[in-house]
Amino acid sequence: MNTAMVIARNTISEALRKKILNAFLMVGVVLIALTFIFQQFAPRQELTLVKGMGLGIISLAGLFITVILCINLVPTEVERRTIYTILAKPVRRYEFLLGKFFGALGTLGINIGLMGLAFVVAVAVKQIGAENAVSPLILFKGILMIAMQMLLLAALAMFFSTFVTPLVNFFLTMVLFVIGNLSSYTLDLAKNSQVAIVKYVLLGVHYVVPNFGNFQYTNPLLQPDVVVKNETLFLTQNCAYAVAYATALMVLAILVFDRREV
Amino acid sequence: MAAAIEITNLTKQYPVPMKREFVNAVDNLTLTVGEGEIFGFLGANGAGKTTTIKILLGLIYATSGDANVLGAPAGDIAVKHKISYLPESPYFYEHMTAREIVTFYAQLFGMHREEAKKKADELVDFVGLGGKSDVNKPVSEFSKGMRQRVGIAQSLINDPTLLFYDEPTSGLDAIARRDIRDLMLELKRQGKTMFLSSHQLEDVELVCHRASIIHKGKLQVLGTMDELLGGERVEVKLENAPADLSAKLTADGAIRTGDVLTASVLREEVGSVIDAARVGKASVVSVVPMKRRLEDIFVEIVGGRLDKVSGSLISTGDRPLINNETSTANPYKEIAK
Amino acid sequence: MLREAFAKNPKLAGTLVPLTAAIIAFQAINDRDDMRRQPAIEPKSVKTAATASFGGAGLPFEYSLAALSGFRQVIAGLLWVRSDAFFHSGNYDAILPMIRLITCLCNRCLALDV
Repeated sequence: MNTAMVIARNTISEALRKKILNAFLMVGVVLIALTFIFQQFAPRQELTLVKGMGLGIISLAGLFITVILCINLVPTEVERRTIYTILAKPVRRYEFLLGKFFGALGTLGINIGLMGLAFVVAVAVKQIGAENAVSPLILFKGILMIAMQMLLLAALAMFFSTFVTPLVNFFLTMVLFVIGNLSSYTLDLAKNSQVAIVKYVLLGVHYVVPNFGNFQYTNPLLQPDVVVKNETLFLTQNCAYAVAYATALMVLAILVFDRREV
Repeated sequence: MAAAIEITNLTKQYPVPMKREFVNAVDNLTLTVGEGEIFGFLGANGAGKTTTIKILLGLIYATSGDANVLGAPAGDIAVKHKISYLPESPYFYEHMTAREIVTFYAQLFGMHREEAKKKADELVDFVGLGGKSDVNKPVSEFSKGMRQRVGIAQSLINDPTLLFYDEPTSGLDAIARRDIRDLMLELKRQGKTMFLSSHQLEDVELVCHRASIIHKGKLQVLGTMDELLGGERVEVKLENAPADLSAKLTADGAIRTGDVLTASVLREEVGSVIDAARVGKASVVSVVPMKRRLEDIFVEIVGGRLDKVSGSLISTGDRPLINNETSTANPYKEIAK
Repeated sequence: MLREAFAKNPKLAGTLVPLTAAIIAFQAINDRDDMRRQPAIEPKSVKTAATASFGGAGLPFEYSLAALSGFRQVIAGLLWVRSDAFFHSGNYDAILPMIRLITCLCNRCLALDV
């Protein structure tokens, strides 16, 4: 696994130099800082606006950074033929793939961390003198849920990258992200469905497609007087779900990549 | 001599898009490379050279047949500690300097960072990059020759027993090519085994112990440099050659220009030809030693004229040369009597 | 390719079984009513938040953005499904702000039995 860590460090170093990812990061940080400008759209709701928009911007920027980073990690190595000199060394294929994945996670952690910091600072500034101020640590719960969501999305994009082209991967990943965000709807539709086959198809979609909608934690952060039942269980099982599903996707990715010709 | 590489009936098929057909990139290839041998693996573009090397490295998988490297199946992870690979036109991470690239690859062998850095410094100097002003710039600003040197540096990190070099001098100027050729000669002197794929046939003639030529995935010829280059032939020019000698030489491919007959004979036959000319009162205009070039054989094979290859190189189409099949009979002795 | 991979790495392929079980188990926990219906206690601010146009009523930011970008009918439909779920669970207070939003997005959606 030391080899995987060497590859991960190299991946982070390379990814942090990519202009397009830095552009998304910059735009995200600037937009968070500029949420103050949109205050006029929601009088007496400025803090709610800053929090809501901030989390939304982190989520959106995180989505594009994750997808664009992860769909290109493996195909670029194959296309540029840098993978030949690596796999000719005593590097197992799963070490290479895991190294790339951990590198992607490291890059995402840095990007979401920087945006999260800007967000917490923006909220802290806005909360000066406010009645319903919340501790910044509570905001980190929302950022943690976004990070878990992006972890799962990264694993999904990496899995597809082992056998489809980046363009197909982009659309597949985005479509599954949208469907996954509608997870509560698929369950409600399945429960209320009268036709058995439709019910089971919807249930199948609900359980097979990664449920990105699970990680929505905006409401309790926007409304500080909202009490969330079983919050610890909610956060813990969501994190465990993300880790378990990401692990399963990476196992599948390793199995596919092991037989792939480069 | 133990075998460093053993390939037995190796075949690699690729499906033809939109058709239910397959094309053989490598077709029933069998050859062996001994330890300490510099082996030239030649062929035209698309002949299957790089495909064979990739199978030996475990980058792709054979359709059928066996390939063993240093006694283990191709792609074995333990063996990779003892081998190295220089691909054609090597690509590296563009943002890294030469030292950073070699350090990175050294760490893939399990070296600690400090040890890897030290090794990188040694190798960068060894390949002649240490003194260059651009050495600390990102490799994206390197010339092709400098990139090739970085490639060679990364191939020497683990002091490998067996090296796979794919077109190491491709696209380089004469000076860079000479430097890399000298490096290969140094590796030969150190007793390394090398599997060399190259289009620079004069380099192959100089460096290799043995060579093979493949065409459309099939092995065409295989032999030592002496076997392939057909021993030594001599060009003999005779004026007013006697009729019997003239007929025999013309049947063997001699060309007549006026009274002068120009013939190419084996060195051991030269004495008999001159004796026959003297007996027939012909004048010997010139006797000039000739040597075949690998390029001639390559062009004949790839151009499909294998059966017309003369001298000690004999092949009947699909059957590769394994032994020197030079005929020992001298047809000119009878004429000289 | 996957069949070959499974045959070559049976132990690794075998780990998918417990992982799949874990995924289904975690999702089943998340699908419990007390986990899905968050927040469990409706705050007073929901009624006033319904009048806010940006980020109000707990509507995720992405849906607001999608509504602005033209997917009005889709958003209206999704809100209708959500409001139907609230209706079946007896949470009538939560339906009103959603109905306002639905009629705002899709003013041709007349079959609303409120």
